[in-house]
Amino acid sequence: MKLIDPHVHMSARTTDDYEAMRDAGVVAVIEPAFWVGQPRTTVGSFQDYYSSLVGWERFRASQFGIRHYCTIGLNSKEANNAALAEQVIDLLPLYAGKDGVVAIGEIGFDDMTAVEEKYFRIQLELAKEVGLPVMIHTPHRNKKSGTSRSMDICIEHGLPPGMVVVDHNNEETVRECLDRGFWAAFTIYPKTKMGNERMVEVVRRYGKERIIVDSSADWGVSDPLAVPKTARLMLERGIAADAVEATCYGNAILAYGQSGQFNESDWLTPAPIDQRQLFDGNSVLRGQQPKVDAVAAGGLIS
Amino acid sequence: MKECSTSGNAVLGSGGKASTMHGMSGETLVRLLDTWLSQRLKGEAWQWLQDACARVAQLEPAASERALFLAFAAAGRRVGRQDLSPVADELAQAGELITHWQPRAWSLDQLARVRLVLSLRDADPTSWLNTLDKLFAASGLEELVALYQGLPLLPHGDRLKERAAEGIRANMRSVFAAVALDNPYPERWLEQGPWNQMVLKCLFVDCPLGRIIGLERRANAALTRMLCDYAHERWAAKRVVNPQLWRPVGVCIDAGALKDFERLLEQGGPADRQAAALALGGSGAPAAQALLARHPGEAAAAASGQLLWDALV
Repeated sequence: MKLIDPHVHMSARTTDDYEAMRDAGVVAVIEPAFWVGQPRTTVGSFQDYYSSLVGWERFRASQFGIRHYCTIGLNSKEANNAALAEQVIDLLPLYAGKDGVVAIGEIGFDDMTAVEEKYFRIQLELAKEVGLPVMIHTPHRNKKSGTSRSMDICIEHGLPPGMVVVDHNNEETVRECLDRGFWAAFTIYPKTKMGNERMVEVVRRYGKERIIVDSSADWGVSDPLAVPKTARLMLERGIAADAVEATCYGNAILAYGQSGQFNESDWLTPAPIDQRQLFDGNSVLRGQQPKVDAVAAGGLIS
Repeated sequence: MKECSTSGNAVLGSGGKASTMHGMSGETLVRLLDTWLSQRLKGEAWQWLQDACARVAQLEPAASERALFLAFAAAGRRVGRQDLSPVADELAQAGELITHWQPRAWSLDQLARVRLVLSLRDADPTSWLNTLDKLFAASGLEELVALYQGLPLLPHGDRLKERAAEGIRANMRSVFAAVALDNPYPERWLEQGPWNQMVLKCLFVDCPLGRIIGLERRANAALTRMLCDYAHERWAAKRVVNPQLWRPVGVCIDAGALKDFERLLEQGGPADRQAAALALGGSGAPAAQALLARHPGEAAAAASGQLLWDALV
């Protein structure tokens, strides 16, 4: 089964993770711009991060046969540093239009402060201007109200709910999200967010329409195989194969495909893996033999 | 022995011609690019580009910069990446407007990206350069190639020397090649130091020297020494020396180079001897002519006009 992890912070993960994900059927990932575990102090750190999302990380993923896309945005946590946020907002137009940027995100609320709201709104306008979907990060604390408020603000700015993916849902937020026409994404993340047994029950109850499963794996104790493990559990527990396919693959294409840049053909007819290709003079190989997929007819290598 | 001509350096540092290259001819250039693009782009793509250029040109500075950033990043998929494939007339127009510019290898998105940059107001060179620097800093490979390749089309050429030198230091070969090959900017603006580095680096990264514009016109004594020293290193390591190396050396022969040409004629393979014949045959220096005359076969080949640098590998 082909799978997509439409929310995973690969910059924080190892090459072993890429290999394991590829082996488990993950063909494409979306890496949302987020914070990096500690607050950045200068705008240059953001710029280098954005450049790595459209550059080095994409290349690194390609070395393992995974198509890497990203979203660009100023996260809500760091939006609270208003002086820095102002400079970061000015950077976004440099990256929002680039190839492979499939949404503005992840944006929304963390502490639900006025500054967070200000930069959330500015970025919703940017999304409208460039015609990209939005990926919403809903807060850990005060989640239910934060999720509602995020959707209210999107509507206020005239964004069609179908262009907005609301992420980190749980049993308490999913109903409103779906009823209002938004995409409801669920993060399978140990301890803090959803477990995959709960996810099975959500799909059993709400069906496959507009529900998306992701891992949000990052630098914390998280699981880059959360999507494959959830897909397998759903099948084992009697969820129909087409619902598994929709929630762990197809819905992400429908949602982020609205960017015009997230097309199944990208990975169905991919360029062969060639680890000999260098990015900026650097390779991920450190003395290992390059793994080169044979392309010649009949698999002949000459 | 004839002193090496320094005529190639005469244009260095002369900002005078820059104002004529842009100004009135800047508008002519924009018209030319628009003609080429409008004839090739589909309606929707052409409309998109026109709108984007208009926004960049007309909005107040911050909004203009923002419009440029958004459009520049999206230009590849908006405009498409087909080859420009200029016809002979268009190449003639190109060379007339910007000396030695021959955009044979350009693609439409590259042209569109440069056209977008040309929409930016440039009356204040400092803020213009500031915007351009931001664009470079956020650029990926494909965008860098377009920008570096476009240097000779941009205004304020005298302010772009450091940028060009930065491109020459790039370890992405295609970025380096965008500055070094088929690009009239280096001949016109680069100081001798970066120019020489560029020529030598072409040999290191296997870029064809014949595609450096002004290779012979910018030959100089220091470059002759660098190239001959490099040839000696290669010989010492028993490695092959690219015969193209001798092309600029021939314009600027010193006593050491003369000995090297003698070695090529007496011990070299066919390509080495042909390179020596071409280099010496093209030199007006009496010592060079005398050396060539001692090798009648090569002298005859050089005189025949049948030997071509570009055919030597």
